[in-house]
Parts: sequence; C-alpha cells; structure tokens
Amino acid sequence: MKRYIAKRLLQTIPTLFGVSLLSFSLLYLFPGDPAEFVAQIRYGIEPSPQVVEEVRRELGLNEPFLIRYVHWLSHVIRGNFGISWTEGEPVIKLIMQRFPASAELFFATFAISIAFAVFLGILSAIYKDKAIDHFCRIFSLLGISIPSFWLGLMLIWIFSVQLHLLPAFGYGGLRHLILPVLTWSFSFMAIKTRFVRSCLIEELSKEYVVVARAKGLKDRVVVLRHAFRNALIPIITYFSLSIHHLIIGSIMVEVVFSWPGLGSLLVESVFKRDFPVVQALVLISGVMFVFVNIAVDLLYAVIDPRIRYGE
Amino acid sequence: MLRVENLKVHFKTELGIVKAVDRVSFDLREGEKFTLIGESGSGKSVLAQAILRLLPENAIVAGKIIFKNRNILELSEREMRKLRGKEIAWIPQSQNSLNPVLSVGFQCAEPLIEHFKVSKRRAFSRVFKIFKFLGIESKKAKNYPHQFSGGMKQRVLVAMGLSAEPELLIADEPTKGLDANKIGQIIKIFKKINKTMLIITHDLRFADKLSDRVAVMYCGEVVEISPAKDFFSSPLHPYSKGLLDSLPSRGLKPIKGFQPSMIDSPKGCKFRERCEHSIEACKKTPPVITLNDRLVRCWLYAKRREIEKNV
Repeated sequence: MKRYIAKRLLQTIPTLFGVSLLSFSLLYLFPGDPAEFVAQIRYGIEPSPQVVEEVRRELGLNEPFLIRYVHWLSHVIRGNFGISWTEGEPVIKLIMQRFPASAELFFATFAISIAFAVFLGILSAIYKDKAIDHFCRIFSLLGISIPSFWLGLMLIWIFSVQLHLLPAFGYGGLRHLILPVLTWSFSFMAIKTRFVRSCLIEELSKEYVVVARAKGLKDRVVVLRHAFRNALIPIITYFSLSIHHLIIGSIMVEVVFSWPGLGSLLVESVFKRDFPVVQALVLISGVMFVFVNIAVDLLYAVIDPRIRYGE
Repeated sequence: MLRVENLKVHFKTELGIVKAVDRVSFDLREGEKFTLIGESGSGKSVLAQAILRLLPENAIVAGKIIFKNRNILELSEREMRKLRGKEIAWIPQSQNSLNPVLSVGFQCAEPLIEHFKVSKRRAFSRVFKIFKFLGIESKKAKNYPHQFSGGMKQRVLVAMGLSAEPELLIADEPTKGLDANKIGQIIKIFKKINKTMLIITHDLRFADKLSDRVAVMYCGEVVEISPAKDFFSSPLHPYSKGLLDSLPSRGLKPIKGFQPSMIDSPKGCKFRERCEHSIEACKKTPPVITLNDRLVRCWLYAKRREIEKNV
C-alpha cells in the first residue's frame, strides 16, 4: 500500500507539469499585450511606448517563454505566485484572504448535497415506484433543469426581498451561508440522488441480497450493510468525478451571492487581466483535482476488498 | 416436520401467468434427506424460496406450508424473520451468493449475531468450529469471497447455513458448477450433517448417493415421490424413467422433446406429449396414486389399480 501511494505520487509529477504549463500559458493564450494593461493600470490611459517597454522589462515579459516558465515554476514550488498586477500585493495573500469563505461554502455544499443525495437515493431505491420515489424523481428533475443562477435569484427574491428573512448577499455568519448553499446543493445533488438510487436498485437485485434476507436479517441491515456497501463503489467514483462541477459551480454561485471566495476572485481577475492571480487559481484547482483522484483511488481499497494495491 | 399442501406459486408477467409451482404436496420427515429432482426451470428453486418466503413481489403464493404446526404463509414478516436462518436455513447456489465486500467469516457469523445477539467474537469462535467440521482453515475466515475457489465457496455457503443450528436446511443446487471431485467432497460433507435436509438438484447421481427419499418435479408439478432406493431401481412415472435412462450409465437415452412452457402448459398430464405410454385418459388431469409409501401422478397406475379392483 505504501509503495502504491509512493508510485501514485510519482505518477502525478508529469500531470502536474502539464497542469502548470497550461496555467502558465494562459498569459500567452489571451489576446492583447499584458505589458500594456499593466502600464494602463499604473499610469493611466494610453501609456507611451517607452513606459510600456519599461513595464515589460520590469515584469520580465521580454524574456523567452521557456525561461519565464521555469522562473515562474521555481517560485511557485516555493509557494510564491508572484505579485498581483492590479492590487500590488502577493497573489498568495489575496488567495489566502479569499480561501476561508470558499472553503466554507464548498464543504457545506459538499456535505449537505452528499448527505441528501445518499439519503434520498436510498429512500427512493427502497420505495421504488412508491410515492417517495416519485417525489424524489420530481425533486431531482427540478434540480437538473433549473439553472442555479435563476434559482439563486429567485431565492434571494423570496427570502430576502419579500420575506426579509435572510441576507441577499455577502459573507458573514450562518445566515449568509443558507441561500448560497441551498442554491448550489439543489443542483449538485439532483443527478446524484438518481445515481445512488439506480446503483442501489441494481445491487438489491443481486443474489447475495436474497441470501442476506434468508439469514433472517432486518431489511435495514440488508440494505445498508449488504447492498449499499457494494453500491458505494460506483457512487464514490461518480461523486469524486463531479468535484470539478463543484469547483466550476462555485464561480457562478459566488458571483450571484457576491460571496468573497476564490470563484469570484477568479472572475474579477479575469476581467482585470490580473494574470498572476488567474494562473495561480487555475494551477491550484488543477492540483486539487489530481490529489482528489488519488484519495478516491485509495478509498476504493478501503471499501472493496477485491482492490488491493501493491500486494 | 415440514408439510407442503397443495402449494401454488404463480408469477404475473407481461407474457401471462407463469405457473412455476402447481399443486405441489409433500412432507418432510424428521432427520431425512429429501431430494427434489428436476430439470432446470422445473420450479425446484422457486419452491425452496417459497418455503422461506423470499420470492419477489410479483409472486402469488397459495396453499399451505406447515412447519412445526404453523402455516409459514400466514406468519407476519417479523415472525418469518425469526424463522429464517435460525429454524430454516438456506444454502444458496454457489455463484454470486456471497457478498463480495464482506469477509466470509463475518457472513457466516451473521445469523448467530442476528438471532442469538452474541458478540462478534463469540460468533466467530462458533464459525471456526463449523469451518473445522467442514474442512476450511479458520484463518480463511478473514478472507473475502473472491479469494476462494468454487468448491471452497460452496463449503462456506454450507457453513453459513449451519451456523445458527437450524432444524431444517434447504440446499439449492449444491453441486452446480462443481467438478466430480468437488461433488464427492460435498457428498461427504452432507452425509456428515445430521439434520433434516431438503436438497434441490438436477444431479441424479448426487441424489442417489445422498437421499432417503426423492421427489421428481416436472413443469411445476411433483410427479413422483419415492424412497431413493426404490426410485433408482424401479422408477414409477414415465418421466422418472426417462430421466434415469438419460444417465450415461443407463444408456444415455435423452427424453424426446422439450419441457413445455409454464405459461400455457398442456392440459391434463403435462408430460403427455413426450410420453411413450400416453393414453386417452392423459388429456385429463392425472390423479395422485399412492402405492405403499410411494406417490405417483400418472393415469397408467390409476388404470392398473382400476383393473386390479375389477378383477
């Protein structure tokens, strides 16, 4: 197992190189001259060509691509993502300022939607084609088809504008968290509920389930201990693959609710062409995704005894 | 000990009503090994699952199954659960009957933990004893089903059935998918088990070596019940004769034609169309004739008895 983990970590190195190369190239893929933007920000509209050249040299933009990439990477490895062009502050500081808000929203949504998806999925599998199942089906269908930005605005209109119960936007205590989490979970859990249901229904039709019942076990034990543990394998794969939906979704939800997280930082930075920040955020989300995948692979071995690494 | 009276199990399907078990009556005597013989699809396994009430929801069950003076079909689900595994245990067919993500030891201990509320450790020590009795190393209890061969899996299933010391064991096709050598081992194991057993098989030689009495099922009906010795030396029903004649040791003569569909099976004797001795009377439902301690459902014997009476 330890050898397997070491092997997997080594294997991530080429992937991480690719991710870093791509996020670094963003600067070159975007149209326009970055030196001009920075000069505009610093010295007002229409800077003279000399000023632009000066800025270009200062930012090191005159150097060849590869040298700049290596330079950037060597700093990034040490946790230095450079200085924000617009804020004049270290990128890492900006990110750390926004990180707690994003993490709060991310984990609250993740936990709530997984818990509900599993709970409703199990319920609708057990009561297949009964009222509860139909209710869950409609619920999921709505979650899939209603766009989150619209749902977010509607919730703001109902709970903030009309009922004055919850704040419409901003970051603060638990009350601020409710609407964004509700909006985001509703769509995130929708397909997952259906997925849990169909995985569990498939497992419930297997021979070992009848055998478990033949032992005189209670239905609850048969479903949870026997069928659900087997259904977990595809469920975990699917849930982990959907984490990038969560990362992408965060951008939209944070913008709608003016949530001061990394998603809204990314959008702001893109509009301001603050490339060091964009590069850092793209790199961080890519790296996160790689490590989530490793964690999931290791989780398989915990759940499924047929998967044993490096033995 | 167990008396099945006029049992009918019908399934409602889109194609029509499948009469999987039709007007079946037999009784199991304390301590005997009673074998149900029949081709695949003759309703044997459905009969076994009907006794444990493990059939899917679309099954319509009528008749009586009397176990220790109680009609199983009238018990509540709660009472039924207390019966399953503890008083009547099921040894399922080998493939896929074990849960792939639970250790075999735990799966064998489950009935004990459920019915006697013993600790996991005590249940396991009992499982070790049964494993020893069946020739499974106790250290294998920690292993998972995929680490076992077919023959070993079959032993584990037997251990699972035996663990809570049931009064009646129902073994469903215990030799399915095993080679001759492994079948020999299963015969030895079954001979060692001193319990009332209902064995379901299509393996005639297996039935010959093991059973005290034999019932032959054809197209959902029991056509003959005889002591094993008499059955294998002089079968009564033409179908029984056909079955025995199809054995390699007895000339390898297959029965002509195919088993009719259970949806619209022929009226009268269901074997009529394949039977060499069929007479005009066979178009009517044949009576069950008692000859000493043997039963046969065939007009030939009714005629003979009538003739004897008249003389």
